[in-house]
Amino acid sequence: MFSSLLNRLFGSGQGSKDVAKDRLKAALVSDRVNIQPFYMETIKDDIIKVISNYMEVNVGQSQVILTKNQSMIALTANIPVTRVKRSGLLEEPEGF
Amino acid sequence: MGEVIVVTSGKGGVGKTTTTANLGAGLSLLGKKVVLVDTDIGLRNLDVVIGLENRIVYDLVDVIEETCRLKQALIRDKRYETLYLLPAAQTRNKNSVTPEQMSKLTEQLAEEFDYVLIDCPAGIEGGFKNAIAGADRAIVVTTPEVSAVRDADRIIGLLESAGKHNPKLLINRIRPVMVKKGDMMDIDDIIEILAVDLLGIIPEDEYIIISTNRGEPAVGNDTSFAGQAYKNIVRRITGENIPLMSLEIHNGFWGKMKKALGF
Repeated sequence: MFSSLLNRLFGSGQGSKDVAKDRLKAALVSDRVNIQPFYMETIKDDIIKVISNYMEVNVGQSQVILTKNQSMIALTANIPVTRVKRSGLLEEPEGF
Repeated sequence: MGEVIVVTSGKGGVGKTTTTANLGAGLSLLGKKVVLVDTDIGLRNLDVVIGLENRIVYDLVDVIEETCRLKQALIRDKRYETLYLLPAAQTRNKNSVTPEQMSKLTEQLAEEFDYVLIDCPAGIEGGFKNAIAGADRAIVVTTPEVSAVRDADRIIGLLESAGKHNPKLLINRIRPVMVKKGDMMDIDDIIEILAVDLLGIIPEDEYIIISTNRGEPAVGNDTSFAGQAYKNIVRRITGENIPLMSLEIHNGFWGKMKKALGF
């Protein structure tokens, strides 16, 4: 109350715009969850590409989706692994 | 071949029609041949905002349905030599026209005019789809309010998925005093959130109400702050590099003193 009066008098500090910005950003994350299926497919392909450097995965059964609960939005990837590549493991001890 | 530019926003009441009228009048002041197309079928307003409501004989739907020829429906503004209006139909609905028909029409207009400015209705339904169908460029109008910015974000997404890339943002009705107090989102805040290029800003200006009352675009008034801002935007549209207008506050006693003293 007092600080808002000070802000009003001296025209500095935090006004309601920061509240607006935070609320807006949160609303937009939720709005944008409904993104184009094409983008989700692209994300999935990229993730699989990275993982494939280390493991063999079942591409056909892989799934990447955005899930939402009350407090946050998460990217959930379900990628079945069929084989782990030897080169992807920790380096073998020297002199082995 | 002219350029087809759609003025859109998602939310209603943010200044699409006022913007279309002012950009059109401003472009014609530069000698460009301009046609304004009101696509808000059933809720037309561009005609009254620009002061041509008494001269309507035919409208957009008449042209589409070939009740008249295109040239018969175009109203020439007597104050701005190179400015024309194609009004929307008032007694029909948005489904009277299809996006394909709109594309064809705007293409035809672009052969005759330097700029075809399309005033888009609020919303994201049929009227929006018609309005953007033939557009080469899009101007998204927003105001520094959560509702308007959120809707602008949605519109930008829809433009993007319709293949209309890089829409430009116009932030309308900025109030410098509130921005300074931290009670209104500023240009940077909005650009950060929407991540699009800024075309320009229009400060809140009571003269807009007066000019709309009279049916005379503010861009024709040299003392109007908003009119000046629209002039700057017009020049940016034609490809000039004009810096953003300063939003320094010169209101009130101290502001006037400072201004008088040259601060």
